[in-house]
Amino acid sequence: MCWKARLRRRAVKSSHFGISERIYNFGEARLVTTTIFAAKRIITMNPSRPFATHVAVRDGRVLGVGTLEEVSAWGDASINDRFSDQVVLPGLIEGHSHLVEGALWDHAYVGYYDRTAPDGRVWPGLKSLDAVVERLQEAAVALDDPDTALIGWGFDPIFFGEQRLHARDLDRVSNGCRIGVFHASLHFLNVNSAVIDESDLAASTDMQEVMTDADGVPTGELAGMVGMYLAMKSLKFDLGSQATHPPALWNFAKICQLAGVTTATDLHSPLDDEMVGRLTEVTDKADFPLRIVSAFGGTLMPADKGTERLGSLVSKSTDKHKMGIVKLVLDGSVQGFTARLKWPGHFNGALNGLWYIAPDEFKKLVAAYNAAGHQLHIHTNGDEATELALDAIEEALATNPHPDHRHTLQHCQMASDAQFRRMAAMGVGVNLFSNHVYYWGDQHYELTLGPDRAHRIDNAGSAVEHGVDLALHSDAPITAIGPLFTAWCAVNRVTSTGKLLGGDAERLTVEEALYTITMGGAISLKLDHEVGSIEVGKRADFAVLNEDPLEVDAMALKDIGVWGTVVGGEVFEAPRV
Amino acid sequence: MMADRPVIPVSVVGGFLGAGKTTLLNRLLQENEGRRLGVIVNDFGDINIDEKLIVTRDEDMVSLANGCICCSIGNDFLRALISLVTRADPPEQIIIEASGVADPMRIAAIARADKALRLQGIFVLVDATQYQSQAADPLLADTVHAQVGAADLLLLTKTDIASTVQTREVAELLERERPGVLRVETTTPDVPVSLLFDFSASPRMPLTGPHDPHALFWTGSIASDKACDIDQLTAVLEDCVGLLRCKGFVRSTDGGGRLVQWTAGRLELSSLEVVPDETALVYIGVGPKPAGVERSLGDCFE
Repeated sequence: MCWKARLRRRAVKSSHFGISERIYNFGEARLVTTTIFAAKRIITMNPSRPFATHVAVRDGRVLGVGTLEEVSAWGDASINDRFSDQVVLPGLIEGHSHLVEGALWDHAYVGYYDRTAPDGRVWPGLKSLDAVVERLQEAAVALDDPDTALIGWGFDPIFFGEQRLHARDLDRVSNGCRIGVFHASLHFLNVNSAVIDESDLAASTDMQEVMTDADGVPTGELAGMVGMYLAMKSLKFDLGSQATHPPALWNFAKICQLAGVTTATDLHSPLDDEMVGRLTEVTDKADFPLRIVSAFGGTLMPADKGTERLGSLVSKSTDKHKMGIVKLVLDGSVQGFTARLKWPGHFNGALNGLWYIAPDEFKKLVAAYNAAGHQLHIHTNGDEATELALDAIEEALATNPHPDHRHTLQHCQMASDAQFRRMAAMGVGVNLFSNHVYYWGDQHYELTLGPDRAHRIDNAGSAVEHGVDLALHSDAPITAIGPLFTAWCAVNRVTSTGKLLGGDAERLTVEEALYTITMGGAISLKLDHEVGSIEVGKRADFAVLNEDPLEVDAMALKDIGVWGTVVGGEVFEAPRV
Repeated sequence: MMADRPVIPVSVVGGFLGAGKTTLLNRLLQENEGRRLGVIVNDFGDINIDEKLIVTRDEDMVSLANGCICCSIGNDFLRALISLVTRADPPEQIIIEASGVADPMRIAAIARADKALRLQGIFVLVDATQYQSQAADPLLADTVHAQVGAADLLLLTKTDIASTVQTREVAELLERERPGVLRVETTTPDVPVSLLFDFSASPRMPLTGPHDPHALFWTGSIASDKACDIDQLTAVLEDCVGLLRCKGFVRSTDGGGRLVQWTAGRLELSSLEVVPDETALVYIGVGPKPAGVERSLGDCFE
C-alpha cells in the first residue's frame, strides 16, 4: 500500500464533464438540488485529486470535487460559502469508541485533563483533590433528589502521587447522599462513607479489591467487580443500559461533532432488538449528525447463535447505523496489569494479565465468525494476546479463506516487528491506541513495560512500514474522542511529561496521520467505498476545521479548532457555549 | 426493607473449561433437596433442564417448579446477580458458576463485600485428565494455578476416566500447590452436589447429615446446656482435618450469645441479641473422620 506516494502525486487534471443535468430521480417528481460548498482548501484524501476548493453535493453524496468551474458543470447549484475561511477534510472516523461516553455526561466530570462536554463547554482539568471535591460539591447542589447517588467520572489518581482520594474527602461533599467517583479506566471506583457503611467492606479489608489507609480502614477506593457491583447495586449506576437511550446518543453525537467526527463506533454491543430499535430510530433523524457502526459482542451468546444473530442484523443496517462486525476481547489493559504479555512480562514484576476468553474457546469463536463471513475486531493489548489472535486468524483462514476479510486487531499496543509482518502477510489490519503514548506513556516506561517496550508502544510507523492497514483511536470514554489529538499523539509521540517514545521511525508524518484518521478508519470498518475521502459517489461527510492541518506546526495539530461537520450534505455547526 | 432480609449464602463454582461445572450445576438444579437455589450460569445452552420442570422462561432467566431459579450471565453478570439478590422472593442460596478462565476469588470478593450476602465457599473443579497438561501450558498455567489457589475445596473430577496413576499424580500436584486444602475425588456422574448446599442454614438440615451413598462425608452434632469456651472451640475447629462446615448457636463463657459459622477454613462469630439457653452445633466434613472429634468439641463446653 503506497498511499503516501499517491498522495504526493498532485497531478491535477482539468476534467470536462459532459453529462447533462438530471433533474428527476427515478421518475419521481422531485427536484434534485445541488449545493456547492466553497472552502479555503479541501483536503480530499483522494490521490487523483488531493486538493480542491469546491465540492458539489447532491442527494447527500459528493457529486464533484475541484474548482468552482469544474463542479459547476453539473448544472444548477446553490453556492454555500460559509466555509470560505475554513479547511474541509473528509469527516473524521473514530474506529474504536463506546456509546457510554454519551451517558457519562449526565454526571460530573472530574478528570485531570480538560474535556469538552456535548454542549461545547470545556470542563477544565482538576489538578488537586480539593478541586475534585469542589467540583462534586457544585454537582451535589444541582441534584434535586437526595436519593439519587452523586456520580463523578474520569478521575485519575496517577497524577496526585502518594495522595489518594479518601472517603473522608468525599464526605465533605455532602452528608447523606451516596457518592461514587469512577476512575478514567472505569475499573476503579471511590465511594463515600454512606456506601461503605451499607456494605461489608470494613470486614473485608484483606481483599485486594479493597484499598485501606495506614490504619487499615477502607479508603473507599475499590477495584474490579467489587466496585462495579456496589456501583450498580448501591449507587444504581448502570452505564451499559443507559448508553443507547436517546439523550445519551445525542450527547455522543455532539461530542463527535465537536471533534469533527462523522462516523464513530460502538465497539462492543449486545445489539438486542430494543437497542437496535432505539439506535435506528434516533440515527434516522435528519438532524442526527453521526453515522454509528456497532460491533456485536461475540461472547454474549454461543458462537452458533451469535453468528446467526449477527447475520440477521446486517440487513437491519441503515444509512447511519451499520452492523455486521463482531468484537472479541481477548485480554485486559496494559495500565491495569491485565494484558497478556510475552516474556519478560511486567517491568515491575506484576503477574501476567488475564485471558478474557480461554485460548481454545477464542480460536473456536474466531473460526466460527470467520466461517460465517463476518469481520472480526479483536481486542488484544499485550503481545502474547496479539500472538494468539494471529494464530487463531491464521488457522481460521487456512480452513475458510476470505479474500478481503480485513480482520483487525484493536489496541494491539505492544506489537513487535515480527507480528506486524504476520499481519501484513495475512491481510490483518490494526487500530492502534495512540492516545496511550501521551496519557500512560510515562507509566509504561517506568512501571508496566520498561523502556524497551515503552518505546515501541502503539508503533504506528512500523505498521505503515510493513504495509498493515492502520487506524488510530481514543477508546472513548477511556480517553476523549478527538482524532486530531490522536493524530497528534501518533505524529509527536510525546508523553504527558514530555518524554519522546520511539525514534522517528515510529512517528507518522502529518499527512500519514490525517490519512489514518480518515481513510484508515474507513478501511478498518470496510466502509472505504462510502466514507473516508471526499470523492465522487461517496457520502458528503466532512470535517470543517478553522486551520489547515498541513500548514500548522505538527505540535499544534491538536489545537486546531473544529467549526463543525457536514453529514450526508447536512451542515452541523458544533455546539458552542 | 432490605435490612430485614436474610443474608444469602453464596457459593462460587470455579475451574477450567471441561472440568465438569455444568454437570454439577445441572444436578444441583434438579436435586435441590427442597432448597430454593438461585444458580447463575455462563450460558443456558449447556444447561439441560427437564422441560416439565420449567415454570417460566425468558431470555436470561428460567424458574423451575422446584423453586430454583437459573439465570444466565447474558450481557452482564453483575446485573444477573443483583436481580437475584434484590428479588421480592430472594433465593435461599446463590450458586455462581465462574467462567472457565475466571479467578473465582474475584467473584467471591463480591459476596464478601455485600452485607446482604455471605460467602459460603469457593469450590474449584479440577479435571484429572487435563490438569497436568493445563499446568504445563505456558498460556494456561497461571490461569489454572490461580483457580486452584482460590479454592476452599478442590473437586478432582473425571477420576473414572483418568488412569489411577494420573489421578494420583494430579492429587500430588494439588497437594503441593495447596497443602492441607480439602480435596474430594469424584467421577463425572457422581459429583456430590450436596457438598455445595449451605447445610446448616436450612432448618430442613437433618442432624444426621446427608445420606450420601459413597459416604464421602462424616457429620455430627452437639447439644449442651453448658457455656462454651470460644477460644477453645476455635482451636478445635482449626485443628479438625477435613472439616467443611460447622454452624450453630452457643452461649459463651463470657455470658454472651454467639452465632458460630465455620466455612472451609474461615470462622465467623457474631453476637446474638438473645442469649440461647442451649448450645446446638452441627458439623460436616469430608475424608476420614478425625478420631475423637466429638470428644474435643464436647470438651469446649464446661
